[in-house]
Amino acid sequence: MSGGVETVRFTLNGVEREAPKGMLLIDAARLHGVDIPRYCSHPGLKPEGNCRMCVVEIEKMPKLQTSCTTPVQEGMVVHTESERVLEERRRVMEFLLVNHPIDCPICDQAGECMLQEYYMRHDLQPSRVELEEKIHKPKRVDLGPLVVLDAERCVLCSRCVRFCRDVAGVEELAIKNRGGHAEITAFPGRRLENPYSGNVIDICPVGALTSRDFRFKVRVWFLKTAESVCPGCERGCSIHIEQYQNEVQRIRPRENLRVNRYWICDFGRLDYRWINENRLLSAEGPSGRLRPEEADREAARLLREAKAPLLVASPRMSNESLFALRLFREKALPEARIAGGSFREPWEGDAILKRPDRNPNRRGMETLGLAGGPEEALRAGPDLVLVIENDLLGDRPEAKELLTGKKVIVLASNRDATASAAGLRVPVATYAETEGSWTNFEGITQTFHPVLRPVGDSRSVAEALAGIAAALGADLGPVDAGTLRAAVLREAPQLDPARGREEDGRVG
Amino acid sequence: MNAPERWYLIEVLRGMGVSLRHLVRNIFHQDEMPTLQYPEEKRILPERFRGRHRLMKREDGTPRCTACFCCQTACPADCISIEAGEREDGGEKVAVRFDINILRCVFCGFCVEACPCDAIRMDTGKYELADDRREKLIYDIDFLLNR
Repeated sequence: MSGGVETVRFTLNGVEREAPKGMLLIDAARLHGVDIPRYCSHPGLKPEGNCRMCVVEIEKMPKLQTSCTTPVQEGMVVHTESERVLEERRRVMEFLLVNHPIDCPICDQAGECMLQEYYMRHDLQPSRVELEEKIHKPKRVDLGPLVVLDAERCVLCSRCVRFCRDVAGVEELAIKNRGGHAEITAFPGRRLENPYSGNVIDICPVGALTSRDFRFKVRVWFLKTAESVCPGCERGCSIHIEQYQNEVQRIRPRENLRVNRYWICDFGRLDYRWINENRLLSAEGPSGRLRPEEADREAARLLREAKAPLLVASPRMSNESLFALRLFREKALPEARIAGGSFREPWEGDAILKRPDRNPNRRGMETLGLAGGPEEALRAGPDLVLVIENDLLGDRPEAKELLTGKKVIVLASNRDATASAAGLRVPVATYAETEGSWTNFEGITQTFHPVLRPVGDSRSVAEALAGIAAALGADLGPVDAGTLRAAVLREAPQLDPARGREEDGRVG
Repeated sequence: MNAPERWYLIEVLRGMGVSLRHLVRNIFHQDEMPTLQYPEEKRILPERFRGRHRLMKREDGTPRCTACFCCQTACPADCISIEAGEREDGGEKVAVRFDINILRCVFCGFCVEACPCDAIRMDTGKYELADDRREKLIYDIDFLLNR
């Protein structure tokens, strides 16, 4: 523990350890690599201690204690793996499995289920309950637009209830009935439909709450995961993108205490279909499909002929792509004007995560000196517009009037309205296929990593720009994300993803 | 090679002698012949012979397969592809598509062992799988359930 934080000394499984004062025992143990099993305890929720799975033996206390509600104290002597504790865990597991169906082949949570894992680690005894004696509860309950409940699989840890009440700030879920008949339910006349409802799927430790969107699509052990950033708004929540057969299958929040804690909104969770669908697979000119080098030559010809070309950057581009665009203007097209911004209408933000501005990298764009608003620049009468990752027409159909009479080249990942209206379309890879970084409204820069192979002929924006520059007779140098990021950091050290990471004093 | 082998004509005559011996023997002991009159006559297979796969049904006629993907996970030849869907009859999950690409299958039987529901078996005893078109050799769920 470094200076400033008051610490206490305690003994954990026979070894003397330190932990910050007031930290819960379960977290203090995790800090030292001791994983205490848990169902109801979640770092993003208030402690409750109802599942009894995390019980530990504390010397001089006659009964076993729940480590998720007990703060660590000076001189405490704790045993997490003593015979008494292990026996208690076996009993808790048996209790939880009394009415739980053993249908892992059907259950969508198989492979990431805490009941499955802890059974293997702590229980391993056959059931003493006959199948016919189990209490049956409703299956496939329609809880809300995103969530399906199987009451039989629920272990009543109440994480979902507490999430709605404490994090989403709405009373939508409750536990009804008592004893073996207790079950999760929405309040009468209500549904689980707050804009953060999907998080209950991630925090459910068993297969009781499943996503209507992901349910039965892919078994989780087939998924490949990459760390990424949500492109939905200027918060830039940390996410995991998971793919199978080169298609995004699921987006999950990634814990990041500085940005989004443990959560993402439902919009961000479902904002992936555009990566799989309606993609621009090859370059297209007025005469049809073009090979990449033909497209580069055609773009170079149009840019060379133009008298007043305008390059439109987007707050959806990564810092690396934005820097490549600046290099492109500097080296290949010094007479071109450059403007940054989008026409995407803001939405209503909220106090939890959502921000009004729906662009992930406005801060980065401004820091790199590319702001200025495309509207004035378009009114200034350019004869050619190069639009990069920016659906101007889709975001504001009136913009058509601003683009009429101008030659339009588009670097786009999808066949959106602007791409369809352009004279030359060049495919580029999405954020899920490339490496890059975005800087959120608080100045926190996060990197995203590729999880998919780029589809069709698509290249990263920087590679596409380098190709066009080469056709214009200019050399941008190496355009991999690492080189470009180093160049960005020489100019704007505040865009360093490593900055402030050490302040992240999180546990586990 | 020894001397008679180097003079190959001697060996040829010896070989013909072997053929002649078998011919005469088979003419007089036809019941002991090791060959079969295939396809009229077929070999009796051992009980555990791994033949063509079939999918099992429950008592009510619905597929036993719950699309758990265990067989697909276990398959070393990557020849099984499944798509899961919701059951309409109150149950939860069922395979709506279940394809075995028999051209890739190595008949190892791992899928049968992996299945927790006894939904796939290789006990049909069928091994005459030739066909004239590749598409016919990708068996779909209807074929596997009903034949």
